[in-house]
Amino acid sequence: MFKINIKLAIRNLFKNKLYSTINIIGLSTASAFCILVYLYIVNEQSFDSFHKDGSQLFRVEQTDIFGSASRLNKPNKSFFSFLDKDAGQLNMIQTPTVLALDLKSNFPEIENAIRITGLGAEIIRAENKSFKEKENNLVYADGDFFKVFNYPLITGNANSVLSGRNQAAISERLALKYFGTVNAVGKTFTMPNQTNLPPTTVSGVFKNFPLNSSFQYDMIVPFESNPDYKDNLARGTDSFSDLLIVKLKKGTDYFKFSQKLKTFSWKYFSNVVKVMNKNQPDKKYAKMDMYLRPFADAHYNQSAGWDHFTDLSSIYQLAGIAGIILFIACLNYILLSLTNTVARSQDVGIRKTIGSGKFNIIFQYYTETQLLACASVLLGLLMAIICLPVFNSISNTNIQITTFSLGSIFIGLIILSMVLGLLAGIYPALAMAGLKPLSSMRSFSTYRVSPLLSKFLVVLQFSICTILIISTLTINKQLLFMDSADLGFNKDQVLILQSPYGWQDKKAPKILKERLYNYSLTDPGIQDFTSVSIYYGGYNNNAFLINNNKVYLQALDVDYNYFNFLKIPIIKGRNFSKELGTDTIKINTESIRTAKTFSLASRAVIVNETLYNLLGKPKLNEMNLQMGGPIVGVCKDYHAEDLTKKIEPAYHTVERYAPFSYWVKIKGGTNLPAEIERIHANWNKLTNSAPFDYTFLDQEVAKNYEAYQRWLKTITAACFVAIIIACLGLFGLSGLATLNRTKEIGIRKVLGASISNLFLLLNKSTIMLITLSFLIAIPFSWLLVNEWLENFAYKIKPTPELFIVAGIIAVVTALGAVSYHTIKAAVANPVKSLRSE
Amino acid sequence: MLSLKNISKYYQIGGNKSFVLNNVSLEVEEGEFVSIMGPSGSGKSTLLNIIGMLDEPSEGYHYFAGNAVHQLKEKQRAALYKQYVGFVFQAYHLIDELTVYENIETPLIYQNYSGSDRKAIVADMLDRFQIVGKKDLFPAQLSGGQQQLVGIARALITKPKLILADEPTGNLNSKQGIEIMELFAKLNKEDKVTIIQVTHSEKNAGYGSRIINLLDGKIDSSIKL
Ligand SMILES: Nc1ncnc2c1ncn2[C@@H]1O[C@H](COP(=O)(O)OP(=O)(O)OP(=O)(O)O)[C@@H](O)[C@H]1O
Ligand SMILES: [Mg+2]
Repeated sequence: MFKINIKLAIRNLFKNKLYSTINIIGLSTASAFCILVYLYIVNEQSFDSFHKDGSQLFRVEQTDIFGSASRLNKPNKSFFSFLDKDAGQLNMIQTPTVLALDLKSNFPEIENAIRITGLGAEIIRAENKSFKEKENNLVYADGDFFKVFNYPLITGNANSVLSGRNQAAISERLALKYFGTVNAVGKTFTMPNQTNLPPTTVSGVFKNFPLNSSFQYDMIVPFESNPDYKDNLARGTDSFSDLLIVKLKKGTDYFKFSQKLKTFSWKYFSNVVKVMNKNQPDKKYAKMDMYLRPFADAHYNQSAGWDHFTDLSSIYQLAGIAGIILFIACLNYILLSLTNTVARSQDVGIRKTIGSGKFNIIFQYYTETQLLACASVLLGLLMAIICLPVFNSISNTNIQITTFSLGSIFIGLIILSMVLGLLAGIYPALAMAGLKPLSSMRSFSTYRVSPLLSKFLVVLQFSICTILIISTLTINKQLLFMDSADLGFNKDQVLILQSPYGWQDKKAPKILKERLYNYSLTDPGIQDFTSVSIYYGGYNNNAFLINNNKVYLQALDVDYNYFNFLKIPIIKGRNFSKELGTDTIKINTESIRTAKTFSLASRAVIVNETLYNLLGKPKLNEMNLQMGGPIVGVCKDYHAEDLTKKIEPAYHTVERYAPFSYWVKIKGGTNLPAEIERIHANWNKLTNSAPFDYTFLDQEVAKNYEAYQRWLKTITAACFVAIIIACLGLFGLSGLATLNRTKEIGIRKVLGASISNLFLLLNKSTIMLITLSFLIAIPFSWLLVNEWLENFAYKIKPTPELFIVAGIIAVVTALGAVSYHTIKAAVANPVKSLRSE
Repeated sequence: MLSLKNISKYYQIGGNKSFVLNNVSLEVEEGEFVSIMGPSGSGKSTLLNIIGMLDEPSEGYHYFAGNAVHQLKEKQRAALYKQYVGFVFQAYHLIDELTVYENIETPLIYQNYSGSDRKAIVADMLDRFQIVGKKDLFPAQLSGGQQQLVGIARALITKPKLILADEPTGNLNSKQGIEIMELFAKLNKEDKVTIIQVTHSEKNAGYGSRIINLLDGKIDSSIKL
């Protein structure tokens, strides 16, 4: 029985080649999309979950009374925000160095505590070469790091590898890069910024951390080796600097312990709160709490300072989109099989008259669908594997199919094909079985299956497609808007060279700046040169109360020609002046020291318009106690940060810190690669071959929108897939529908209908349905689009054109899909269609 | 009214030409009532379709109301057809989704009559065929004879000068057949409509003024009555 069913199913699939092909393409494309999303989600969920005692590991956090975390990471708004309130809980995850020791001595529940803190920018010299590594990947960590976490060592003992002075464990990757071999134990390198330490010896080599680890460390140095260690310890709760992961003893009651910890922290941090309240009496700071977040869940939280963030809402959105695409593909199948019932109805009739039960018929058709679904899912898997590299580059992940266990993939595929089979197969099977034997055997002249249902399904499909099109267009428009928006400064052709020196180094960056400046005068390809002590985007993100407005004040330390370089106009007062020589002098008068200032400038400042207005347009060149220095000029507002944020009040000081990056303006029309080569060559001469790190200012600006770009690509891809699937469905549907109307078309032609008459007749309902879908899509997409645009302080308005263009795209693609069949039917010779008498 | 000169129609079947019409020449004067007879497969329908410009001959010359049809473009041919010809079919070929009224109205829509004109013309026609009471019924609700009546009313609605009927009574009983034939005869006499019909019935053929016998794609005989 089952065997016969399968045999019949296969035969039927081959008989209706066109429709089987359309169905397989539709279902497999949708499957591929779902499989990719599934891989992505499984990969994200697997983050940090591979540690042996993972359930005992927790990240220590404190409530953020400084408001710094919330400033650095603004929670993204989305439709699914309500599902992950926790993600937006912006605690401070940096802890005082001393906390680990105090916790251990106060709580027997704590089995171990690992502090981790960054090494900072560092030039590493090994075997006469110099290297610069990603700052995040070089850390100091407590000695039990390899005991608490499951990162396998290739050489070295987990108990002792981080115990010696002037030693470090490095990754396989780094060992190969520096020494050309994994057997690097005993080899040495230097890190000059670690203040005149003797060379560091490699004490162990660990396997590269797995890709699904939040930590991606390349070098781990014993925690006590940090030259600032003693200082940090002594500063107690005044400094928050280290990540702290605690391991609780087995069987510890998490809730009881959390409670204990809370009371402890109120007392422990009471001093911090007291100081804050004294400094800023306008604000009332509450108690400071401590919170333990399960280590494996830490990456779902958006707090600043954690290396991997899994945006749960984007996962929900992706899963939602995958579901929608699956749904559209199933609708296709249902539509086509229902419309195709004509061809099958006689078959059902005959079966029924020879005594086949209802269940048999249902099962027969279900088998057919399930078979098709399985084939589609397998094909989808193949497509997914082929598309994986593209997907990785879009989603900025590094998913390898080989890292997944065969079992998990297999289960996923089975579930997917069952869902497809049931979703797509049950309804047609039931409908087919419900056909009355007599009516299905009588040959109708023009027979159409429940046109209302298929109309409803088409409207549903195209409403979804239109919503996707509108979203894509909006996101695209917003990104184009940000790309072309006037930031208030000229970002073109600016090469940013990163200082190779650490922030502790006060002298070397200044010397290099002079040298680069002198060089820039001799290079005809260079138009201008400046330096800043920031990268791009301001810093100092503390909140202050200025004339009763709570603001985040940005401090930018720049060079004398910063404003000229970026073409930012000074609209009042003067620019910084080297000739005057007074702008860099630190003011240290009694009045400043006792004043309740909110800027620590203590010297001449140039403020932006926003700040100037906030301050109430004070007189220039007078000591401004609020600013802690004289305001010598006001510059036009410009976007020191990306356009998701509003222009904040900002002030500039000149040459207060050592420069952190050097900005080179390349003359227009210069051969860029050659110019960069030339600058690199000179850089090597000037810095004794220090690492040459460069970017472009416009790229730096664009970097802020990477996540949105990725989202655009995802939505665009989803949109394409959905439209293709829906159009395939419409194509098949129109084929069947016109087939059913062949005779009518013939008659109308004989009655004098022209081809355009017929084209209109056949496509009228399509046009109406698409128009209806469009009308349904408008309010939904309006809501969605506005919700998304909330992410941006500077945004486009969703204009009617956007919607109209989307509507036109929907109608045109739909017409394109149906035209093949309708035109074919309209030009056909009526004699043929009327002959069958 | 129309003339065919050395018209042939053949299909290429496996390298051989299979002739459906072989060198047929035929003249039909305005006001004639011609009946075409012949065994099944002799090419009657094909000939009728060619006369009606629904089908194209493989060879030969075709003149219609003074136009050389074989030289006309598709569009001009369609215009000529719209102006002169009305078709009646054995299987009626009414549109199932449209009411009697709408079926009859359809050709007028394709000839761009205004709404009010259409109303008047269709009302007239319904009156003349005495089917006013049935105007809101669908084809499936009518008997075969009634359906054919609607089919003829539809063919006549644009006042064609030529009616082509392919076995118009083939699906009807003899009483219904006689009604239709009398209607044809009346149209031919009173309205001077030229009629060419295909029929298997000697009796029906007798209503006409000429009988043409087709045999194997050739005119076997042409007898004036
Ligand atoms: N597309 C085609 N390809 C090949 N042969 C065809 C084609 N169309 C029609 N014929 C052949 O042309 C011949 C004449 O067909 P036609 O319909 O004109 O016959 P008929 O005289 O009207 O017969 P009937 O009395 O049965 O209606 C038939 O033998 C038919 O098989
Ligand atoms: Mg025939």
